[in-house]
Amino acid sequence: MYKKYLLGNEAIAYGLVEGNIEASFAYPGTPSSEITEKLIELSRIYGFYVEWSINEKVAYENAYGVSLTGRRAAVIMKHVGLNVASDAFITSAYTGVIGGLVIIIADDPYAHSSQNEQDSRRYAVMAKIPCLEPSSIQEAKDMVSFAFSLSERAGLPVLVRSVTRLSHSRADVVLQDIKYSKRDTSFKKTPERFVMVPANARKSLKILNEKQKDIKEYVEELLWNEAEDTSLEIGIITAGISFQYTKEIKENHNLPFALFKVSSLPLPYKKITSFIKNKKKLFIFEEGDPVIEEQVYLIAKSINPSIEIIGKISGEVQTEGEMSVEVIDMVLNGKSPQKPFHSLPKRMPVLCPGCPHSGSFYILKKVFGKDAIFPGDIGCYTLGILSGTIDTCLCMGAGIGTGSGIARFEKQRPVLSIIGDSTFFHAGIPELINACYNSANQVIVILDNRTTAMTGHQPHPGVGITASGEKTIDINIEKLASICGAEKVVVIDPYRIKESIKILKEIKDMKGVRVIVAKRPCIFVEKQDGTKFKVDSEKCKGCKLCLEIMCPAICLTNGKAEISVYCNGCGICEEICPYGAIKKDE
Amino acid sequence: MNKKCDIIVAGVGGQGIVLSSMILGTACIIEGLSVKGAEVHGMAQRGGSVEAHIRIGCIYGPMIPSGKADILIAMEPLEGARYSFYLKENKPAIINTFQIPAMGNTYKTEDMLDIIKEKTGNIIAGDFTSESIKIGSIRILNILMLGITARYVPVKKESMIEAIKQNVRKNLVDINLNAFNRGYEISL
Ligand code: SF4
Ligand code: SF4
Repeated sequence: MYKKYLLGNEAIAYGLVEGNIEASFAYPGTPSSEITEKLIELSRIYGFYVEWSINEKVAYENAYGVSLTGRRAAVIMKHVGLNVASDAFITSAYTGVIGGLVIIIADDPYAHSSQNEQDSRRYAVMAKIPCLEPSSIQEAKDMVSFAFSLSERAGLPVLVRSVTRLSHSRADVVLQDIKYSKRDTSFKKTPERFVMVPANARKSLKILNEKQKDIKEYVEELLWNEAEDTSLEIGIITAGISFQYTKEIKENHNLPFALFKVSSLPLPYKKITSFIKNKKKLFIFEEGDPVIEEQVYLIAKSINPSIEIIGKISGEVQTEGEMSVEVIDMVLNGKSPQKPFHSLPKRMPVLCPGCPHSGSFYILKKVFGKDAIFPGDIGCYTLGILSGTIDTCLCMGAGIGTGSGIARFEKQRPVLSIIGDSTFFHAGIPELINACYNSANQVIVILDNRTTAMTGHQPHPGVGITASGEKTIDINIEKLASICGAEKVVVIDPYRIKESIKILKEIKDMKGVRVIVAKRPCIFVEKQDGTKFKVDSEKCKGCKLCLEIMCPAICLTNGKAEISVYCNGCGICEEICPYGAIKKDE
Repeated sequence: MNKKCDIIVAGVGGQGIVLSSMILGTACIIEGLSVKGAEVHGMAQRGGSVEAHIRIGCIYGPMIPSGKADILIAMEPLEGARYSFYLKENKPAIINTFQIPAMGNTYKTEDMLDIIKEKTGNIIAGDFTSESIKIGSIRILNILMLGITARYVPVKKESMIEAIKQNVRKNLVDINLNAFNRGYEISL
């Protein structure tokens, strides 16, 4: 046993190894990506299999396949990834699993880095599988390891729910010395169980429903479902990271409240029943939807109907965003939190200095005009919202489909769907084929920066290496787009403004699906050589043209452009300046 | 010495805030202190406003409640002002005065310091970015500022140095230690 200062996600990776994981599958997504990054590192020691899959559905099915061979597998994703994987996920509960199958989902309350705040526990309820929710990083590590045995005992996949504040927090974590072992098992044909034709599906649902009784028993035994000071009349039920916040307030103010920490769904009905029996008043704090709260209402209805329940349903606890010490303190003690007291200039995330996307956006605006419509997608380039080159963003791959729909009726305006390379592989290919098959009239811009940038620069099938760094095929996006049926495919270099503008003018007035591949590595992929640019203030006329790139290294001081130490030397501004005022700083 | 200390590190995505947090945390592990921390990954790291929380001697959650921080380290003055509401009255604020314009907007650094002064008179301010460039790289600003902080935290300087060695790439240890020592000198 030893201690380490670990990120929640790193601790989860250690937990998976302690649980003898044999294969892991994931698509990068904040706040879940570091789990796989750590697993890649640990796999070099223990020799299990780790993969970046092209999307969460494929990842899920892979993990399911491993489980059918009797081995333990994990599939890791952010909350919205489960939407993509949900088709496989829901029915996998019908068939059940053989080797432990653990699904780790990182929810993002407050949508720090996401398009929504959906609560994954709802999925576990829908699929009728057990869900575990750790309240600390230590618990997260211990729970994922335990989740494998629970999965095998229940014969079902087990979902472990993390949240941003757990995945992206750090703590002193106690680690076990790992005794890693592999299994020697094999796939056994059992078509009545694993082939979900209607007759088998109907039988499987019955089996799944019967398993529910067992699961309810298992969660009663869980020591993580625990209570303190139960004799008191006012109680708090809490789960996940909210438990830590509640505990801090309780200890700091010596509050005379009973406290119950829920760590599983289904709820431990017996334990909860005895906890709320003697209570007059009950507070419920949980991240996301009032999932626990709804169930507590049902229990209370029969055993303590007069109990007052204060939570998200009653309206006292906010239903959007995150829980925090402040939020809970306000509900418990009526204290309103100290808020920032000055209105200050906002600092939103922006594209890095020298980001190839900035060049692409500049070029597209110049060629297609301000009237063009830009259905967008998910990646660093979503930040194009600031330059007016992202007009919609729904989910992975949606930019192309949305664009086809818009273009069908917006016949006068150019429609340019913006998608990144990794996102294209994830969800864009069927969308492109659909656009070509159904003769959409749109431009599809694939911003090929040779990486999955936003989530921390993971490889994908276009770059020729796997998660573990081994060489593999690299799929040529231009060729792929042609095969999918694109009318015209052109490649541009977003650092070469004039040349690119010329190429794009040629395809501007064509009809049909035209694909532009803007190829240039992200500045994190290709190391800079230290080149910086500077403005000659004599020559600068303050025309602000260079500001249109929206490079954060350029700003206007006293009417003249100025380039800061953060310049990454892409040279785009030099090419744009009509007065030759921007030059290399030598 | 009271071993409890809540620290806010504020700055702009890309300034190495996560590394500062890791080094402080690792130093706690070296000394056997409990520690929690929270940080930002993902979209905000692209030049957005970023905060990290480090809670030395903490056994609960990773987030410091507003008005409860014992130290504010700000790698940029606007961000220092933005997060100064976390600070307890008159606790040290270590502020880099070198500004990074926010979305093309510049502002007066003095105004930012004034806002921080409403919370605390205990301000250690200076252009630590230029200081870092002098030592060799803008990248070591985070470590230089940790050096300044060393005097205020309940972990030994030696533990922080050891933590730096454990957390930065081998070929960068020397330059980072130079930055740390320079920061420590500045604080004296
Ligand atoms: S990480 Fe890469 S792709 Fe993302 S904004 Fe920075 S340069 Fe652009
Ligand atoms: S060369 Fe110009 S556009 Fe490119 S990073 Fe430097 S300042 Fe920004």
